[in-house]
Amino acid sequence: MPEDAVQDGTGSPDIPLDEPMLYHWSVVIENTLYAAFILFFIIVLPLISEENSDPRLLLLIPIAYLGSVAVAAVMLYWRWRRTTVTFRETDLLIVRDTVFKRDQRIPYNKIASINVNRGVINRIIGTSKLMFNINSSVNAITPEAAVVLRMDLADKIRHELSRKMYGSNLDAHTEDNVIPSVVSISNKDIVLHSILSQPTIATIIGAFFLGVSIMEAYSMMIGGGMNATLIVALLMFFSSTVIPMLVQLFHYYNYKIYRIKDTVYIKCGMIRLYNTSFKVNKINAVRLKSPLIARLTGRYFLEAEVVGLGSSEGGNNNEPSPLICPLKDRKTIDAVMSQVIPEFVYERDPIKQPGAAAKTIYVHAAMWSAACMAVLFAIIYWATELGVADPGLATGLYFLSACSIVIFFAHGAFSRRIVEMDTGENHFSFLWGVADRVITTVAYDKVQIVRIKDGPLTRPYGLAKCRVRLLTAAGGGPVVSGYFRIQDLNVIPETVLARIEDGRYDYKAYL
Amino acid sequence: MASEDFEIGEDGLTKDGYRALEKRARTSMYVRNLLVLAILLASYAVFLLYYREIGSDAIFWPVTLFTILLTIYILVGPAIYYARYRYRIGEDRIDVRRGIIFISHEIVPVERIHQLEVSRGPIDNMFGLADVTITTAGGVASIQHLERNVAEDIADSLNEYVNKIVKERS
Repeated sequence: MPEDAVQDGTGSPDIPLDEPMLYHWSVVIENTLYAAFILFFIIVLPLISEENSDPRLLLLIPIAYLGSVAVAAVMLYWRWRRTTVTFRETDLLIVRDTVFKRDQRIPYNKIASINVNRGVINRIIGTSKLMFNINSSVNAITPEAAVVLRMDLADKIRHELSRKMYGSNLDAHTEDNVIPSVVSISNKDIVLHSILSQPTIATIIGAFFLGVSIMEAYSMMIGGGMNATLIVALLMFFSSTVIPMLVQLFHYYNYKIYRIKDTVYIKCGMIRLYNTSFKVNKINAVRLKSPLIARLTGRYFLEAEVVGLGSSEGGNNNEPSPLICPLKDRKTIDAVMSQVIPEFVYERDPIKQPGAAAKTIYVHAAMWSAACMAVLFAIIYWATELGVADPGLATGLYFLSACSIVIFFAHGAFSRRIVEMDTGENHFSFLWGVADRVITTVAYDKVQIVRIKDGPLTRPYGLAKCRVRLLTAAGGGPVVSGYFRIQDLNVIPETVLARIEDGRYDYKAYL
Repeated sequence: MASEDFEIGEDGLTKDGYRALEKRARTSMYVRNLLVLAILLASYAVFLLYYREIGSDAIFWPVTLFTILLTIYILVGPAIYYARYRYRIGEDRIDVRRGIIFISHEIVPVERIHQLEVSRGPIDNMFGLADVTITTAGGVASIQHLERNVAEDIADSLNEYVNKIVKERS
């Protein structure tokens, strides 16, 4: 990282400090368009779908719709006129003086991240949406405030606040043009990432529905006529495979990542631009992922679970964790880790699940197989009762139940050998998965609750599973281990407590 | 967890210093479960009326088996849950062991606590019991069916500790 070169960039630009500012007027347009979209479904659709050809009603529909949109526009304009944002010396003040009054103060030292989100309307008009996130367990995935400003002003404010918060001394121009990405990621890499980073199960489902679509299209070409199965199969193919790929492609296009001091910056986006920044001390955990097909080509990708990182309005629960490195070979991934998040690099000395875990794993496989067979045989029974069973269906279901047994036992056999855990000094890690593997490396200091759970099958062997809850974060969730000896799992809570006790855990380091 | 981990000594503690719940906690669990059982059996009665009309064995047996298993679980559950429920409030941590089929051992470092709440449902209230809900920045843990004064004492002492930490850090 050419840190020294960029640290000498131009100083803080002028920001209207202590002056209440209105949001950019484009907010009114954006929100009115959104309201028009919603009102279309509420007012127009129900009326035109009724079998009513009364011309008066047909005339009333556009009048009612346009009238509602106009009322919404006036209300949104009024709200815009009465909402101000003031950037003060130590905090940000948002005042809304409408029916629902709001007086929101966000101290700069509580801000975990400031992200920029630029949608199509923002890009046409030349504005940016600044998203302010604080360290909150409640709103960890929702920005506390979203302020729309002229793009140059938003960039200035973001950089000035970054300077205050992170010590970065860059302006937007320097940052965009001088600092190279830590890792060279071409858009071809992003296309590859979008395709190969999908979970294997999604790929299998997608391939199945694509196959069905092709067969149905072929039979339609021969027999003629429209086929409902073709439409359903195509819809399933697009929703399970194509759309998730396109979402990834649009999100991570033009990807760039760099680190300045303790702050990681990620810029990406094809249509909507995302400028994300967060302090390294806000990272709970790092996930090294390798879906089956990607792993067969020797590729992995790296994600971080970050506290206080909402980069879209509305608190999207499915918001992905920030991508630290798209699909690359292991050597590149290791290099990126050591440059961007060296805090999470440590010598792993993992332990595999003990041999006794095999019994539990195979009993589980047998139970799942039995459940699966019960469902399939119930289907055959009902199909016979209803008189719709034919020899082909029964053979297919018997074949499916045989396959399911093989899959469950093979999965168990592989997981027994693959799943592992490791407890280091500052971090611990779990490797999970058979086809799609994930190594989750967690900082002990981010652990909030540990739950060690044993059952009738594991108890006789002194084995249990561990579930660790971390600080709430976007794209985060509990981290779960495989079956390990209880004393091995107990190392995790004991280390957490020991670090608090002996002062290795310093709360100031995470503010 | 071995069964001796749950044995209570003369001092009212396990060998690891865990406490058990009061016996009225078990009664409270039974009362709650009996209410659930009444709803379950009423639902099953409605099902039987409906079943007479369709008369398919393929539905009758799974539903009946499920109802029987759930009834056994509801009737036996409180005794096992009570026998295995142990908690310990340490200087640095809160430990709770509980479960019927699966036994979980939950550990919450006291340093991570953000908020404490004592709550009482109508049934627990009848028996003078209360729950302590512990909120951290990553989730919620709870100690259930405590005597009301014990719950208040635990919440007060932990609150005091949390406030002390907040003061030291502000």
